[in-house]
Amino acid sequence: MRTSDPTPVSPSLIGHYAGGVTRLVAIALDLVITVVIFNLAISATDWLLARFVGVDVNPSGGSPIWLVLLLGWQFVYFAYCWTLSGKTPAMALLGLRVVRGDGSDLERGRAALRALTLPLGAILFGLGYIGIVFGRRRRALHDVIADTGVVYDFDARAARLRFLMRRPVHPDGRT
Amino acid sequence: MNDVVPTPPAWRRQVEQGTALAIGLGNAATASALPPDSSAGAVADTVLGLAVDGQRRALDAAETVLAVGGAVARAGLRIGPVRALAARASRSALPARAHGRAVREISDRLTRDALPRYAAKATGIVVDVVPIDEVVAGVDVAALLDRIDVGALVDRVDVTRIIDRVDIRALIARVDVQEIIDRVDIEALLDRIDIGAVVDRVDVGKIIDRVDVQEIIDRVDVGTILDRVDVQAIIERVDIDSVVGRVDVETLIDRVDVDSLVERTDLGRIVAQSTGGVASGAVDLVRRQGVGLDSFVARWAGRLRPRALADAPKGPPLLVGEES
Repeated sequence: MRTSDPTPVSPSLIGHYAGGVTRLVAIALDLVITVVIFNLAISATDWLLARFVGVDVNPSGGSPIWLVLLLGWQFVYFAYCWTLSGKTPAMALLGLRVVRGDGSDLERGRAALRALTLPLGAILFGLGYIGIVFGRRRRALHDVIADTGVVYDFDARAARLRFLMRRPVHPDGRT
Repeated sequence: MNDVVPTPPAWRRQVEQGTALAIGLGNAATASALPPDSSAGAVADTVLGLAVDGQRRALDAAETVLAVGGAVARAGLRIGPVRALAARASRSALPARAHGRAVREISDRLTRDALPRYAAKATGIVVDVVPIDEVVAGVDVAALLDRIDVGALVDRVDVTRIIDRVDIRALIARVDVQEIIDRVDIEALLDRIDIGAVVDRVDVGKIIDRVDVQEIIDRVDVGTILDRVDVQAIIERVDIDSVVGRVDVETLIDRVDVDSLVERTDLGRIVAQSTGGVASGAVDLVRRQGVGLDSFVARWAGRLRPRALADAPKGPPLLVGEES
């Protein structure tokens, strides 16, 4: 089966504002990753405490402490990843990077502010993300507050060349 | 009061000139035989002086007689009987005058007929007698040439007529061109030629316009030329760095259809296999699909907000520069 080519014109997209779909997929993946890691960590801790200390932390209970811990963990996850490289694992997978409004690298305080205000869009019933689709600089509410932006961080032209190289070549030269 | 010298009559001047000419000729003929300082020469000069003096006296007397006789005759002719007598005498002399004229004409004709023969004989005698070499040696040729107006002489020459009468082909046929060439000192000739001036006078543009370059190219055996070319030597003489430095690499790359190139080469496949495996391909696919969906959503957003998004920046100024 031949893979379709979604971008017939493929200039390098490095530094261009990223669109809403990739950003939505990236944040969804990051949330899944953080939740999975959190659950694994809690389960491992519960098993270790039950085995060696005899204490049952009961992570499946309805205590708000677990929600606070989860949010705290997610804050650390996003703030640390953005400070470190401007991208989370999901953003790295999709070729995205967070930068300052002028395009320079993100520093620690701005990364923390962005991570802290990240949920605002969801709290406002998703209205905080409208700017990603209809804004001139494709910024969500937390981007505006932290003066940041999300850009593509992969060479689309190189990706296209790799795609072409992998296509089979017929003996008569047709691909 | 100035003394007025009477002009001698014409007949006397002719006689005196004839006498002078005869004396000159005689002197030239006897110059070698009668040196002036010899006794014979002195005698000859004395005789000549007496003869000339006697001639002068005789001419004076004749001139006086003719003058008196003429005056008497003119006075007598004013007298009727004398004039009638003179007229009668003149008429009676007509036959004699006619006879005399006829004799003169015959003599003149005979003289003209005989004169060339005598002249030829005389010329032969003169040539035999006169030392031509001495005469020629005595001629100052340089002075003679200086007195000749060569320009005027050339102007009088009808060169066209001369050329028309010349058989050029026959002339050329008699010329030994090889001998002429052998005698030419080519090096000296080239030294005298101002090559720069010659080249300056050449209109290279006109020459090139008249050259059928295509015909020349058609006649060139490029294969033979290339066989004789030492390509390796040429390459060694080329300053590759200078050549590469003059190449606009960006423009060159823009002209290359990289997509087609990669698609048609196995090298591209090798590079792809070396730079990433299945995971890399999957990541590329995810990213490209994501970009495609982003573009799709962006187009729809642009339709809803055409004014705001038409000239939207593509990215942060530090990353995209002028594109933003």
